[in-house]
Amino acid sequence: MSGSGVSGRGRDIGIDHGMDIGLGLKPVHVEAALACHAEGLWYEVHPENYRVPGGPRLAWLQAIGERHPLSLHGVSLSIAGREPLDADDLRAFRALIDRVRPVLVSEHLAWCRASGRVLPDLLPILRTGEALVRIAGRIDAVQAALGRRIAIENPSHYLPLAGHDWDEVDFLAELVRRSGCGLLLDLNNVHVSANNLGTDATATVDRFPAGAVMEIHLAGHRADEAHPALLIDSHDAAVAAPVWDLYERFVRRAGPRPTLIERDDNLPSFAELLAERDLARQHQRNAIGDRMAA
Amino acid sequence: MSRPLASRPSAPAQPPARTPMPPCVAPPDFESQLLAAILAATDDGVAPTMPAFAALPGFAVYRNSWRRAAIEALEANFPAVVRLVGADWFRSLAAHFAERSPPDRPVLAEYGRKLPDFLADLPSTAHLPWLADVARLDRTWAAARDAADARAIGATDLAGLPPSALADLRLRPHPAARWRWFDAMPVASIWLASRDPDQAVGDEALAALTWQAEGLLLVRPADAVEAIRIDRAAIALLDATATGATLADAMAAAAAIDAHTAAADTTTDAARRFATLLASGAWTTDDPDTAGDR
Repeated sequence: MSGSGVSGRGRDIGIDHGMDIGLGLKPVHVEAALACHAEGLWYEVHPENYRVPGGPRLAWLQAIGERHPLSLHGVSLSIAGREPLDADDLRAFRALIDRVRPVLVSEHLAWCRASGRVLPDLLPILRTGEALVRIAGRIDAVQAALGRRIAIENPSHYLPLAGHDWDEVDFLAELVRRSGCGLLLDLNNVHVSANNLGTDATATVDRFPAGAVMEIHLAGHRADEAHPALLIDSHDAAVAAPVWDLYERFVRRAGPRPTLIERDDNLPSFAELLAERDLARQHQRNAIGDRMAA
Repeated sequence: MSRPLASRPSAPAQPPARTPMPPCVAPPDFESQLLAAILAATDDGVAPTMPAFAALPGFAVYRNSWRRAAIEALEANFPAVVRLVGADWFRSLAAHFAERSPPDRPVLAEYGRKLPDFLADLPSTAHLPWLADVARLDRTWAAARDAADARAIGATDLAGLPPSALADLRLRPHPAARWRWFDAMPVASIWLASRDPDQAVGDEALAALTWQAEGLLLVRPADAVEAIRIDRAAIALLDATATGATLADAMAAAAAIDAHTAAADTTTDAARRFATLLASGAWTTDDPDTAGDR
């Protein structure tokens, strides 16, 4: 069941570009990444790390982009913020898009800017009617400035708050309806948030507006040291079993989507990341098999 | 269809594995209160003026994660300073700096522009008078790495020019070229040693340095930034080309310095110096408007 009002999936831009399982790209893995020709492999980077006039980082991103599809995953536009969008940042983002021609561009349902600060984090919002109107308008503006549809990611949650007017899945679906944006379904965030807020991850996955999902994120998490009941979206470990289950569950219902393994810390070798990628393909195939059989 | 929630979150389809924290009622200005709270909270104790949600275990995630990201960015941006003061001391001074100057730009590779001045004013580093300049060189190195691309000119480009044309040539510094002169301390030696894992940077090694003025040129002829020690006359030569002087005038500026320092064979030294700078990739003839994005 989808509560989204978004019907029909239509063409999937990532699948059309041969994007199967991708990897977050780290500078330490560039040589291996350039040499790898695995089928369906694509790479994702944070555009903020490539906002430079020139030099080796930009050169290797372009070199990677000539061999593999790219995704730019923004972390600092502060889409859910209250301060005006930064025109310089949007111009710089657009310039990078024009330069490396990513297939996918995404951001978060979160904010990070206020009073002259740009905090390197993804801060939560109260999902009110006012927030819905404001954020839909900001997504509109971002899509106009970047000249393309963007996908909005569900962030990890750590604070069980009463006072939301909207449930997150419905809020995202309504953003899709109002702005025409796509969604990035982060299944690790779904799992972590469900644990931390006491909600049901499978219900979230089952209700997530599949027709709008342009990309899936998978990652590892860990228990907080001080409060082990709290899970942290740490991206420093292998994808956990319950997240694989959510992945199969979504693909079984909705079919495959370009899927990223996000690993930002405690980096393993590139070969280990490729092995985890193979595991993702197995889970995806299991789910597609079930889907065909059903 | 979207459905705004009533006063409580929708009931999960299955009971969650753990008993969740009871939700905390968020104030209407939740986001500004969250910002104030995460900026204010600097230790495990929660100030009495903190909002109720700050007592939730998950609040610490927001309190800590931007600080951790900021400190990690500073560690990445100031590797020589980290090596010289040690990782523990650096983390503590970086934490102190982040409290005072949280990131104000989305590009974390640029974070810490005020760190050198902060270090210069820090009483605890007063016995390390070169530390701020070492930090500035770390910034300079990053600026050279990320500068716009341009073709460096070499000796072969100038080989066919008649002497008069050579004298009238206006060489433009390569966008990545950066040069610094340190009047009183061997900052270049300290910085070079600290960026070289094979060199010692302990008290004994620093005490063994000759306490004299030094110059350093950073260039990026290909993929990597290279550091070259240069003398005061080379600084004058580069400075002159940066102001648009002809090569004849730039060489004269260098010669004026040589006259002060009474080099034994200034004509030979000047020719060798120019050849070294030329071979290093310090200059370009590319039009700056087309050399890079900005």
